[in-house]
Amino acid sequence: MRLWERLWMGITIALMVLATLAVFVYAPREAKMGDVQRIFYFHISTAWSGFLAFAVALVGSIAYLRSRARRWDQLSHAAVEVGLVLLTMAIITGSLWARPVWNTWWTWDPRLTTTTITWVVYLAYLLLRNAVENPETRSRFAAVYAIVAFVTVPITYLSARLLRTIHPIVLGPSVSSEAQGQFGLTPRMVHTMVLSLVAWTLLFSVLLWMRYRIQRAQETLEEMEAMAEPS
Amino acid sequence: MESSPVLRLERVSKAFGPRWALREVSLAVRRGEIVALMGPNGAGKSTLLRVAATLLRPASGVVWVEGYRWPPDGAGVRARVALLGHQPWLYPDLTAEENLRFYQRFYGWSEDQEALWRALERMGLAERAHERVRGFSRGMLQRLALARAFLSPAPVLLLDEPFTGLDVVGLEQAREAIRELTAQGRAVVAALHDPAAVDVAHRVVVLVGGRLVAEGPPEAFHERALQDLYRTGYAAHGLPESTSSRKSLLILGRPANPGTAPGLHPAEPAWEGGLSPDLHPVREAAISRALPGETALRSGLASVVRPMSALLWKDLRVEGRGRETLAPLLTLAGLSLFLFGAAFELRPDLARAFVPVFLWMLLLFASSLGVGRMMASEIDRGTWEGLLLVPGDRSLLFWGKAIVHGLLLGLVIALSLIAVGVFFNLSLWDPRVLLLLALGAAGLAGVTTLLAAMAMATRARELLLPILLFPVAAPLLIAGIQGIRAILEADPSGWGTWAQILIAYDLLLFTVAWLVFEEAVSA
Repeated sequence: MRLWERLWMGITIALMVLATLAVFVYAPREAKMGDVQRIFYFHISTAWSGFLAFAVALVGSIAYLRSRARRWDQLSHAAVEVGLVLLTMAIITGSLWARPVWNTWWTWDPRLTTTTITWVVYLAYLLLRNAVENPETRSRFAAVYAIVAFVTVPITYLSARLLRTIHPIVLGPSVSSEAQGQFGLTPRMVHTMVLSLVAWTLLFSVLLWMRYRIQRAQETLEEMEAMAEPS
Repeated sequence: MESSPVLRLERVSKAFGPRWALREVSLAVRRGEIVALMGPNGAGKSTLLRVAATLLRPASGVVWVEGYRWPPDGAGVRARVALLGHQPWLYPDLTAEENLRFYQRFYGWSEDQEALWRALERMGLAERAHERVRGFSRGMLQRLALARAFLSPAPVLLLDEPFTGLDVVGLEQAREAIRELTAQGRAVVAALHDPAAVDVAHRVVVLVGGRLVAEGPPEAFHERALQDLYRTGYAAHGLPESTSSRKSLLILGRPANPGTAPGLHPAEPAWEGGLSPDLHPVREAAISRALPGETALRSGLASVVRPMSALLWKDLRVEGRGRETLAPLLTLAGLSLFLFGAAFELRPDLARAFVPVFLWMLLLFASSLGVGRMMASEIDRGTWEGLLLVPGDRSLLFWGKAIVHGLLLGLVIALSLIAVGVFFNLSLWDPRVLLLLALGAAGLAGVTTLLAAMAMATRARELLLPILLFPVAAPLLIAGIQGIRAILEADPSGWGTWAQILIAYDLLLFTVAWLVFEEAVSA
């Protein structure tokens, strides 16, 4: 591993530790919900990083279709995989929060529904990749689908802002007056939130880079194995 | 004086995964020339023709046809080449004459009935022109496919195993037709297996392991010479001592064992300029007439409307005769509504809440099953490749198919609304409901056309299409259901909001599907 990679990982680990400490020590206890509100720092950070990953997959896919360079497809693939993990964490942390606050693990709220749609769309992306034998066709189809799939991302973002929802909007305005579990941010909460967002974004970038490198190494190995087979 | 090449491949390479199918192949073909492409199985002959026809994108290198360069200008090259593929690209439920007429219109060729009949007569099919192709033998299908290739005004004909399945009469007719076309100034590249068939060519080039390894006059490539060349070509590109016709062959590439082939020539394609002396004289005037590309690319609206209307006509006729998709789909829709009603025994108030859900679910399933089936038929018949060779922008194909698929969904909606009226005593013939359903059908038709074109080319096929489609279409479904519910509950502001969401998502989805379609289908 090169020096800058070690430095990058070191900073990420340090910030993750700091952010976790801030969530449990520095950030104040929310008056109505109590300690369960602290999960929001993880929930929002993982959701943000997940959607960022899908944006990276979109950019990588467009770049692949323009250049047909495999590295862009490998980047998109890695971004979708990491994004799916992060979005899964966002959904699980949301559900853990919802149980005590909404008195249910799950409800058919527009935000929850659209987030799950996005999650399923990117799961379908991986299934599509798995169903195609030819590497070039696989990359091409995956790139096209990643572009179509991204259409669901703004829908998820807008769903809690345009539709009647009980999902709280912590950052930015909301038209819904039915939000349950809404809370205001104190300065310490804002600091913790910003720190969490930065730390998780860095963690995403590290995971993406590592997955991308593994992807490249794996494909190179497969190519070498195939070349070694007698024709 | 020799004319400049009409088709030129410059260091074209193509890989499938880690394996090279073509490696830096250079080839130049002039008007009036017939080049036979020979090589062992898997040598890359079909790949070379498919790259030249723009069905495959080269990994490196370029193809030039009359000044049009591929990549990137696939549309320009497509307008100037005609390909006869492995599969005949014929519709079993159309007659021989209808098949040719469809391709005439779809490819933007002149709709000259006389030329069409001449092509049928030339291949001995005039008497069976009005018979459906379904009953044709393999040899007759090949004759018809050849007739289509000969009908094309393109200056370059690429023929992949043109004599497969032909009897001796058909073989002679095909050879004669090829000679006639080259006398008119066309260039022909034909991938051949049988050494006995190469005498039709002026020049033979041999591909082994994706490389051009030898070229020369046809008489030099008798069976024994080819056997030796195929056996040794993979390893050395050299010519064994036993090959008696060594002097008349030009071997390309550096030999691994120089001792076996003392008279080798350098690897550079010096043969590019060398034409056989017995070429037919080229009548340049014969090819000065409008080429399909010129027709298609220059005439604006007609170039869009003609292929789309041809596609619509073809799909409706094929569906009307084969009843492969619509009839089962309508039956399934009616049956589903009946079972739904019987299972739930909905009261009128509950019906108002549940029927919109079921209607949209039905639309979604109809889209996946119906459009998937239609696309699978195209791919299974091999006709999809024929459609991809449309001169010009392939988004024409997207629009044409989306319109057909939209019509299919429209018919499912119409039948479902009638069934809803009968089974649930619920009239949904409100213009606002129809607008929402029409918008939903349009969006679904667009995105399903794109996704089906990809899914049907994968291993999982019918199973994969709903997995790809349903989550992407889910916002359409939600907006549509809520919109119809709002109409039934007399909530004007509610229906307006959902209609706006539906329109916005519809436009977004359709536009994205349209923009990426060309990339999805361009290998």
